[in-house]
Amino acid sequence: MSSLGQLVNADLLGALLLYMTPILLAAIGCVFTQQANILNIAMEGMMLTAAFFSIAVGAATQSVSLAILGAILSAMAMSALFAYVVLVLGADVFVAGIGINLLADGLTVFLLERLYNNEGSYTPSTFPQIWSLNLPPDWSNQPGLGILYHMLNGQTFIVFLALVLVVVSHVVLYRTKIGLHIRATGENPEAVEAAGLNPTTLKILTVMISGACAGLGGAQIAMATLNEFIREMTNGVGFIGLSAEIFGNATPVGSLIASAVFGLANAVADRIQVIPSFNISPDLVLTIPYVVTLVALAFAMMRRRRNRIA
Amino acid sequence: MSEGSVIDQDEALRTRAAAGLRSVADALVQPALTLAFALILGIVLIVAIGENPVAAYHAFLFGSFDNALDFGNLLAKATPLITTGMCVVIAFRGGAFNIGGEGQMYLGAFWGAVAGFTFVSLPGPLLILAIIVVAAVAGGIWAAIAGALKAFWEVDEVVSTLLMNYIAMLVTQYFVDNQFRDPTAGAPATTYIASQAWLPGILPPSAVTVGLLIALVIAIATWFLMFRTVWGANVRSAGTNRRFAQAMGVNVRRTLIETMFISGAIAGIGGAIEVMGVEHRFYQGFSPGFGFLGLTAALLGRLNPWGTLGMAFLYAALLNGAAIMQIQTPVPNPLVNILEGIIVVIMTAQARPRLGRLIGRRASAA
Repeated sequence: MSSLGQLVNADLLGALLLYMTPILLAAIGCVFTQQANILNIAMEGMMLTAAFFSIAVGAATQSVSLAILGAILSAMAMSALFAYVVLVLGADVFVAGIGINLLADGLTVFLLERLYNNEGSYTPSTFPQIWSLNLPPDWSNQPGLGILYHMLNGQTFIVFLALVLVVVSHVVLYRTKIGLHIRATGENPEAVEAAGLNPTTLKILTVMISGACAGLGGAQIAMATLNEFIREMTNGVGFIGLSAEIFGNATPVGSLIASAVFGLANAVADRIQVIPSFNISPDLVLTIPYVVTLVALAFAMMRRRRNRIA
Repeated sequence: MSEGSVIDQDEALRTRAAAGLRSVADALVQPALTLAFALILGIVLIVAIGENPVAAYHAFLFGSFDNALDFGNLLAKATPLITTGMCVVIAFRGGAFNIGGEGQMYLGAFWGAVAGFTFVSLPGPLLILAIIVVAAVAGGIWAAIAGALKAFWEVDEVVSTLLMNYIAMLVTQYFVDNQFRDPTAGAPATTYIASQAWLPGILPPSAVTVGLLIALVIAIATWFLMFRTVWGANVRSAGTNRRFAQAMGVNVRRTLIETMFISGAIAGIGGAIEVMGVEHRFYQGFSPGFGFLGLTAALLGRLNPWGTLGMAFLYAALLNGAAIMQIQTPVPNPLVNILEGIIVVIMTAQARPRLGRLIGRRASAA
C-alpha cells in the first residue's frame, strides 16, 4: 500500500471524528455566547471540570448516565459562576474567564489529591462503558460498508449527538424567536430592551448553554477512549473550539467545517507519526488549522473593507 | 496668559488630584476585599479537610519573607510576570489587547537561546546584549504581524494573537523536536547557551538573578516611554481616540504596528531572561502560562505600569507562598490554586465602572 494510502483511509476519518467532537462541542457553545457578544475564554475550564466529574461520578456510581449528568452539571455550575460574576456583578469577561480556567485547574487537582491521593491522574479500576456504536465485524471487509465500519465503529453517542446539535443549534438560532432574540442581544441590545426583553437574561442563557456543551465535550474527552482523568487533560481544546467558532464566523455550520479542519489536522498529525515513510513533522501539520484560520480571517476582513470602499 | 485660564488650570489640577486619590482608594479597596474573601474561603477549606489553618496561613503568607532563599524565590517568580505584564500594558495603551504574550515570549526565548549557543565567542556582556536584541526582534516581529493585520484590515488582535500563540509554540516545538534538539537532553530542549551569558544570581542560593533587574528596568522604561515621551503620548492618543489622533497628524497605523512591536519585544526579552537565568537553554515546557499570568497581573493592576508591577509581585507572593505551604504543612498546594482562581474570578467584580470603561470597548469589538 502506498504511504498516502496508509494515511488517507477510513481510519483517518474515524480519528477525525474522535478529535473533532470535543472541539465541535466547544465551538457550538462558543457560537451561542459569541452571538450574545461574549468572548468565552472560560470554555477550557468548564470542559476540564466536566472531564473530571465524568470520571469521578462514573467511578463512584458505575453509571454512564450519571457520569454524563455529573459532567454537564459540573460544567454548568462553572458557567453559572462565570455568568454571575460577569453579567450580574459586572466583572471583566476576560479576567473572570481566565479565573474560571485557573479555578478549574485548582479544583480538579485539589480533588484528585484529596479523593484519590494522586496529583497527576486518576484511572478507576472499573468504569462503565460509555454507549458507543457497535457495527457487525463482517462489515469491515465489505465494499462500501467497510468505510462506514472503520469510520463509525466504536464512536461514542456523544459524537453523533454533537452532529445533531449542529442542526439543532442552527434551527434554534435562525428559525426560532429565542434565537432571534439571542442574535439581537449581540448586535443591538438596545433594540432587545426596547422590545421588552432583558438582554442580561438572554446572555446568561447563552453562557448556560455553553456550559452544557462544555459538559458533553469534557465527558467525551475523558470517556471516549481511556476512561481516566489526567491533570490539565483538556490541553487547550476549549481554546481550539473558540478558534474554530471564530473561523466558522460564529455559525453552527461554519463551526462544524472549522472543527473538521482542526480534527483532520489532529488526526493526520497523530497518524503520520506511525507511518515511517512520511517525513512531515506532526508539529507543523498541527499549525495548519491556525494558519488557515488566520489567513481566512484576514481575507474576510480585506474583502469586507474593499466592499465598503467600493 | 489670562487670569481666568490660571484659575481653570488650578481647578483642573485640584479635580485631577482628587480623582487620583479616589482612584488610589478604589484600587486598594477592591483587591483588599477580594483577598479577604479568598483567605476566609481558604480557612473554611483547610478546616474542612481537617488541617490547621493557622499553621497553613503562617507558611502561606509569611513563608516567603522568612529567609533570603524564599524571598529570592518570590522575586524569581515575579520576574517573568513583570515582563509579560508590561507587554500587555503597552499594547493596551495603544488600543490593542495583546493576549499573545505567551507566544511572543516562546519565540524570544527560543531565538535568544539560538543566539546564545551560536555566538559563543562573544564576551559575556556583549553576548547577553545580543541574546536580548535577538529575542526582542523575534517577539516584536511576531506581535507586529498581529498589529499590521489590525492596522490594515481591522483583523481583531485578540483573535489573531490567541491563534498566533499556538502557532509560535508549535513552531518552537518543531525546532526542538528536530534541527535544534539536544539529543542528550531528556526533554525537548536545545543545547546550553554559552556560560558567559548565564545571568548571575543576586540572592544565592535562591533562583532570583540579574534578570529581575532587567525586568525592573523594563518596567521603568515602559512608564517613561508611555508617559514621558512624545511617542508615548502619540500612542496613548491613538489608543484612546483614533480619529482625533489622526487629525492631530499621528500616523495611526504606523503607531499601532510600532506599539505591538515594542509590546512583543518586551515579552520576547522576558523569554530570554528565563533562558539566561533559569534553564540556560530553551526548554519547550519552560512556561507554566506566564503569558496569561502576566495578562492577569496587568488587568488587576489596571493596565498601569506601577499597578502592574505591584500585582506581579503580589501574584508571585501567592504562588511562592503556596509552594512553601505545601512543603511545611500537610495542606496541599492545589488549595492555593483554587483560591487563586477565586481571586481572579471575583477580582474585577464591581470594579466595572473604571476597568469596565477601559475594557468595554474591547469586549464589544471582540
